[in-house]
Amino acid sequence: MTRHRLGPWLRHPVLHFVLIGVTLFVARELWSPAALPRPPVQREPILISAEQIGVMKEDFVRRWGIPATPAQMSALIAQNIEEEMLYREARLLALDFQDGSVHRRLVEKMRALGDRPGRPPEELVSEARALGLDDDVVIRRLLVEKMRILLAQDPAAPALTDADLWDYLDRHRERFLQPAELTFSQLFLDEDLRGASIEEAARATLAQARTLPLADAAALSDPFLLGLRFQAYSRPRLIARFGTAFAEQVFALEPGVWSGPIASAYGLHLVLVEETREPHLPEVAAIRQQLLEAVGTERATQRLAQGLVRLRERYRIRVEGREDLSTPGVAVAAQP
Amino acid sequence: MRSPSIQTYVLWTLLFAMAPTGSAQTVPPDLTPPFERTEARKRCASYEPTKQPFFGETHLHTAYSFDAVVLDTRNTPADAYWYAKGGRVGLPPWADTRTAEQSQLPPPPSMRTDVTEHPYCMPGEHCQFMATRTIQFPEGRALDFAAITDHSEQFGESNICTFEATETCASDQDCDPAVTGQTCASDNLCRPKGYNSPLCGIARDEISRLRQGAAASIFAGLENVSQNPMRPAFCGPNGALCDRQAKLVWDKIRNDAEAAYDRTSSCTFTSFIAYEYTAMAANGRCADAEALPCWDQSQDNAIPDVPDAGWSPSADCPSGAACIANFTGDSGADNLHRNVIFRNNDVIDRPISNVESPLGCGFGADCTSTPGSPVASPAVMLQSLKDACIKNPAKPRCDVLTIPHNPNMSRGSMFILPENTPAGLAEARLRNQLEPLVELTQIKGQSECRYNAKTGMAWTNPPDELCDFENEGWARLGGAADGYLTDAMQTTESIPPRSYVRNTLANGIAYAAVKGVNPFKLGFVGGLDNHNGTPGQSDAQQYAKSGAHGIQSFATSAEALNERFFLGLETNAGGLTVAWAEENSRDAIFTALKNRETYATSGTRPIVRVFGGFNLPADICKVGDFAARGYARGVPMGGTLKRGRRPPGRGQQAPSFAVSALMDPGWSGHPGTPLQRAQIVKGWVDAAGQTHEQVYDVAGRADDQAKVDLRTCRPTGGGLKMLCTLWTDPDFDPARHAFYYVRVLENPSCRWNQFYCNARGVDCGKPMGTCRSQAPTANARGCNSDADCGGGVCTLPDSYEEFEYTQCCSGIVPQTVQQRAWTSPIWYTP
Repeated sequence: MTRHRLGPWLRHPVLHFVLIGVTLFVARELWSPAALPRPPVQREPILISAEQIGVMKEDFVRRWGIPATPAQMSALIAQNIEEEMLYREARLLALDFQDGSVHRRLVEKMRALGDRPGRPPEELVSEARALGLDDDVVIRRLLVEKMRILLAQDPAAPALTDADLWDYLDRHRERFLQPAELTFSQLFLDEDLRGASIEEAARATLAQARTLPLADAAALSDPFLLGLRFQAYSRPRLIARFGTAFAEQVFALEPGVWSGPIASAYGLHLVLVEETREPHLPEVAAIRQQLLEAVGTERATQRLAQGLVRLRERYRIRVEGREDLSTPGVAVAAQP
Repeated sequence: MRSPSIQTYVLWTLLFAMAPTGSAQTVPPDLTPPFERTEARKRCASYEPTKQPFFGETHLHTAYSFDAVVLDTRNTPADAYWYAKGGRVGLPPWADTRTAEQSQLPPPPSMRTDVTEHPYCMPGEHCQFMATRTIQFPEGRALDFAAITDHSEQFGESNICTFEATETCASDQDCDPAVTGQTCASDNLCRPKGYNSPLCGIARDEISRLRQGAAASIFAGLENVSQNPMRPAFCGPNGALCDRQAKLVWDKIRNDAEAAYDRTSSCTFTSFIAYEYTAMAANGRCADAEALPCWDQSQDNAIPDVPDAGWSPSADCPSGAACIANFTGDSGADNLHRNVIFRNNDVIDRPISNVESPLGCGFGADCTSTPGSPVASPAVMLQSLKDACIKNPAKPRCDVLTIPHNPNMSRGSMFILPENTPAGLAEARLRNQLEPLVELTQIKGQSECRYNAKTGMAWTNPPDELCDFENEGWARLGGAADGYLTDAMQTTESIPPRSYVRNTLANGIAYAAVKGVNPFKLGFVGGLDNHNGTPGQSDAQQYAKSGAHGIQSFATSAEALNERFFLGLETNAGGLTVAWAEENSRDAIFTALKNRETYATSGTRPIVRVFGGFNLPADICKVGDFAARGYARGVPMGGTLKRGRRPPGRGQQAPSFAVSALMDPGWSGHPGTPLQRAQIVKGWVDAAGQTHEQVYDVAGRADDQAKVDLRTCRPTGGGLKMLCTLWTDPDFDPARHAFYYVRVLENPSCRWNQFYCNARGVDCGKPMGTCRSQAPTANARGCNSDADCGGGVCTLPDSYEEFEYTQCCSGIVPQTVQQRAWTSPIWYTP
């Protein structure tokens, strides 16, 4: 009777599923840690042979018409090492797996070999890989770039804050610094009106101007089209109106006192610098977009550089005849 | 992770500490500017209520113009702004610095680009293409503002045909086709659909062989024409593919302008979002005396100047005359181009180009001209622009103006008086509102006035010999040899006088006297129309080296001195626009342009100020405050004087004009050329509606003997550093419309070809060549022709290119010119 009552339950699929599930769970719990250890990746040392260096040298001469300097040679070798590392890591991470561009390149190469037409692309690709056709300049370049992009990215990075922008602005003051500005008044002496005695007149006017309040001194000036007061003029604007020599002299003046005479293309000028504004940083609001882009680029560059440093630690690098560029390496797991 | 850093605290502290001194200086006097502020931005520290002169560019092409990119111009708008601000950019030809292996590779993949970049680098850097020539302003000559005006008709086509792929792909989806319009090409790179069309293939083939040719003409023939303009087949149904690309280019242009604009209180540079509207109307002309343009429908004139067999009256011709072919044989490409400049970043969604709103007979099977409008009326285009911008409720801050250029190459089509109909009056009002300026001078000649000293032919009455300055012998754009007019062919019939602005201003006031609205109330600007992406490069010496047209530029072409080369000897370095504005911001400069408070220069940088009024102080030049007193008692250049209130018992006073100018100061090691004189050009209408004009010398001397050393091209003394004068019209009739503009002439200076000849080492003091002859007496003798060699031949030295000696030494080509400035007119309205 009991059998009768249990029978339908034992045959019920839900029970079967539950049992199978429990079994699988237990099996997974028992097995996974020990049974699937990550094998240490074997990274072959990178060797830049004397022969390769010779090719680089020749290439440089062909390209630029002059032999490379030692510094340029070192840079070329370093670049070669970097690209080789990036390529190898990309292969380790299987960045070429299911990459459409790599796939199509391999298909194209196989078709160029004049193989039987009509074969499915998948078959061509695996055959190409078997033949080693995937070691290819185009694919190499693709993978190197893919790896660079991967290293430069950090999807988990927090959004940029105003403090980040300030910090960047502070560290790149010279790039964003607004030019120094001067506000000055002038007294102009016109050669046509003053004739040969213009120098003398200038000295007399200067002495007189120094005894007068600013507003009254203006009466001593000959007329000048652009007026007698110039507000917030930067050096480039001053050069544009009065020439380089004039601008240099005015920017060197002590503020608050009539000075000169200073010559321009038009005549002699007595100048009173009223206010100077040192080079200054702009308001963040006015350059927010440029800052966001700049910080983003800087972060990406840093991540790429850090990534490359991590990679270098994993490789033993030997450059023939250049011990300074060779390094020992340590084996670590295949994680970028 | 970084906590808020020490630097940040220090920086904030410093900023707070500096704040009192900073703000006291940066905030301009508390006043409401006379111009409307339509954008959120920092006020300018340098703010001058009586205005300051700002030098700028209003007409320039970059690699985003199809006819520039096919000349291998690679400077983009971003590069052009960089140059305008004083940076260094490259010029073609480009050296391909790739290794043989690299040149087979696709370019390195990087971020997606929607709009082609044409990357190059400067010498010393390592990249794919290197500039073999570079160019940069000398210190102090950078621009204050610039509008980059690429040809809007081919924005999309150009991007499709010349796209430089940067993104790899496996399938179309990788290229985000819905946004970019790109597909995955067979080499696994994303490219716009249409890239592989035959027409694009031709275009790229021409670029690769460094010659300009068919492709640009084919595009122009489809898109810039007056009848049924259309996009090429590769643009897809309704041109949708090209429209989408055009939108991407337009968005890029907007972004580049934004990036170049200085929104800080330093106000070092102002960019304007702009484009060129490029209509090339193919018009015939009416067989009556008016010689108005008309739509020559059958286009089959066998004999010039004779109507087609079985001709019918043309609707375009007032007297019902036949429409006959133009003097150059067939109807040609009349220049009806306009530069469209927006006030701020609230702009129309895409340019209204000739394809959307053609200027000419327009669309339709019969393609007659718009009823009631002359054949070249811009009314429809201007109305579209007004509706899409000024009147568009979705774009509350949008404001725009258009600047016609090269009326000298319009064969009189640019400035046809609107008819006496409601549609004509509507056109007059539209032009008055939207076209406040005309480009008076540029690389392809000046358009103020014309005179030919060789034939004595004058386009002004009385003749004005100073109009014989940078006149083009080409009566139309297009460059086909039959467009070239020899001196004898240059007549007031082949080049109608209304092609020139002085005559047009007179026609405008004559129209206003009758109809009450002036369709041609035109202030003056100068531009380059350079196709190198180098705005404001108007220096003659530099022009002799770099030219204006990419790979065809002079240093790479012996065509420079060929007078029958469209872009050769008759071109000049181009002009500049100077705007008088309170500060260097978009609102301030745009307001100056709109109010015509501008002047044009032929490329040099004199500073000129003009005020007109009935009560200007007599001592305005003798005491200071020229500008403050000018504004208080008169109107500046570009303004309008109204009939003054008559003092009791006295007749109407004549207006006076105060003119003040400073010579171009030059730059370090390159002194500017002193001024020779200032003139006032007056035009007026008499009671019968007849127009008159007169030129008055008002300052300086015409007989100044100042010259220039032709070898060194330096001034040899004489002339004026500055001038100021108050001139009263001696012949004023208060009942009649009039206009007055000022022309300031510099002393003679070397024309660019003289710099070229000097640089090439052409010595006019020696004979041109050397005899090669059997006769020992003649052999090796200097010669100017074979006849000098007694049966031998006269050979040029290897160093001389074709034309060089003859053009440099014949005296036919002017060796010097008088550079000049033209101020916007002041109008008098009774």
